[in-house]
Amino acid sequence: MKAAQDLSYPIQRLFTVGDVAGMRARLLHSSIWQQHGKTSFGDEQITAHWMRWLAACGTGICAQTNSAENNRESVQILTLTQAGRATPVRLAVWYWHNGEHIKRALCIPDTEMMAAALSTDYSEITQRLPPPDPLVIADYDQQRHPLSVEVLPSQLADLPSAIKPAFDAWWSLWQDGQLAATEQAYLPAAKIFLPGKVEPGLPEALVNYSAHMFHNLRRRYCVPESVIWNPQSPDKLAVLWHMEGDAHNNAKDPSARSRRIRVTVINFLEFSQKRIAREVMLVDQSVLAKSAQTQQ
Amino acid sequence: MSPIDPASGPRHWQPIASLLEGKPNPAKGSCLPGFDREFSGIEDFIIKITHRIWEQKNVGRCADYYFDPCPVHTLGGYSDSVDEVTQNTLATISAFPDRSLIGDNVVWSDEGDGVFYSSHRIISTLTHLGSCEFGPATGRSAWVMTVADCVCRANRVEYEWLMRDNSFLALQLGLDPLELAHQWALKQPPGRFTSWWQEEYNRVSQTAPSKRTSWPSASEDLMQAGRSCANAWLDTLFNRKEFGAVETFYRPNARVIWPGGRHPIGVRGISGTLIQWLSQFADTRATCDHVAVTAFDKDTFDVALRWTLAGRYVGKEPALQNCLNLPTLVLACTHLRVQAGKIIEEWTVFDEISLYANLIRAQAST
Repeated sequence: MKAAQDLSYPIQRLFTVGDVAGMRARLLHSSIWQQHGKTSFGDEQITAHWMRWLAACGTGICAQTNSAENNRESVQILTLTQAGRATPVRLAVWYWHNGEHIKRALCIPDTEMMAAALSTDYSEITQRLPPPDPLVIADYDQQRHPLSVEVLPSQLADLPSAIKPAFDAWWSLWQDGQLAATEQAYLPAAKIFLPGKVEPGLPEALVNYSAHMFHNLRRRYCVPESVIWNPQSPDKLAVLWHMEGDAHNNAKDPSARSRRIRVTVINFLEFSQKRIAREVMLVDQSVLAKSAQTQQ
Repeated sequence: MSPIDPASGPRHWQPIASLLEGKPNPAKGSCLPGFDREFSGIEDFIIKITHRIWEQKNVGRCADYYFDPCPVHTLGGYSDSVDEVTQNTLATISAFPDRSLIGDNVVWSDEGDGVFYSSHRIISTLTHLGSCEFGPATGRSAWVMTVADCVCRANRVEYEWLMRDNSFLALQLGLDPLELAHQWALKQPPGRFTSWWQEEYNRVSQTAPSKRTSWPSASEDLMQAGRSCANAWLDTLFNRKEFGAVETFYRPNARVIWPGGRHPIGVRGISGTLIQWLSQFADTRATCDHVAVTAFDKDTFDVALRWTLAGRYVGKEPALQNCLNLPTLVLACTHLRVQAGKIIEEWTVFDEISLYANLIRAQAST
């Protein structure tokens, strides 16, 4: 995977030393960069994403990296620290490439950690970020019927039997709201880095987090977009997926109190003893907040 | 079917500089009869003239690469004069001074006798800094997808259909697409547009129902498979309204870009998007007006289909309740990327604002 490693370097350089030229050289004229739920094309728009990040968070040291790659897709999860700041910031970049150039990159920064690192009120950080794409999420029948075809993330990669059952159990937590699936999916002492959290929590913390999310999103439906698993690193994988649902707010107009929104999530999973032993989960909470409130 | 050069891989991955510097291969001879030797193929011709005219802003070079007259159809108007195209382009650049055109894909077909058909998917990035059909400057930055379908012959474009996702552009600029449609409806299009619209409406609405088209089998060659995909997709979903077929046609995690910010992921969202959109029309008939198929890589091909839909408006939009049951017409282009018998990506483009503006104008004239 030498080629993919070649592409991970300019990404790290971008966020650690601000090497804009190095990153730019790896993009095509038609490359797409998505960050904070906003899709951008072309040098001007894409560079604006990077500069917004660098202006807010500055450059720093990459304290930790988690990565996964296959022939066409890679993901990097960076934990960045800066001198004088106690709290690190985590971000994930999932990118589609040919080993030399990136066609599409999806960047999910943990904006809650960003606010904590900057000792700033979360709503202030959110205001500084661009509005997400004005997407219209269609209403559809989100129920699973007896003969409907459902895709499991484990079907998107040729996974070994050692991790597939736990991965399917992990998905049932999100797709079915089966909170007890954490028993089959995780080791009891698994370390789970949830959005906004510097320190890892146990599976109980994940149950609380997901139950809270399910309570706030009705008529929920989850769809996996991609899974990266590599036989050279069989005990880890990354999954990119989307959750759609009805978010409720306090708008005066009753017809505006519910908005259908999409949450994009990246999870990095490490397995041991056929269960998940470590997980990092990335969600850009600002997209969720803005999508729920904004009348496009 | 266009060949894929294994040495260079698909154009998809080539940097723009190498695309623009591409020279014809003398060993292969001229690929395009009647075209300048600098163009190695129709894809090369389209990429280079787009860059020269629109990206480098040499708008006067339309005269070099377009016949005059060259009919250009959009759902919002009609023009056939190179001078008019040049003037419209200047007005657009004046309102969006940093507009850049980023070619995303060219799907093409050889029509024989030196005629080639290209379907060029383009992303424009722009900042709204001056007054234009979208109103006074908003200062907002946006991107918009366009598909230009061109008939090319003898080094020039001789006929064009242009489709732009104006409703998504309006939303990014913070504008209400329906309010904008009401403003656009105040402008009277040229008579040639009105007659074209009526001819197209009659043609499509009077087309007899087609025979059921099957989704391609694995044994079909790529060209035939692409044509089968296009016909089955349009006929099954738009004419027969059999949305269960979405699970047959699309990979479960397929990504789709539809106009107006409808960007579903996965078969549930794709099906929902089609149902929601089609529910606003009754007595619909859709025709597949052109299909081009191009290889993408060794196991993937791209299909471009230009299609037209005619029907009656029966939607629930409060701002369009005066338009109920009026005839409506959609001029659209869809690009499908098909891998292992399933659509993995789709891009559909039409001008939703003009669609509604035409309805509103028709209502006003009744």
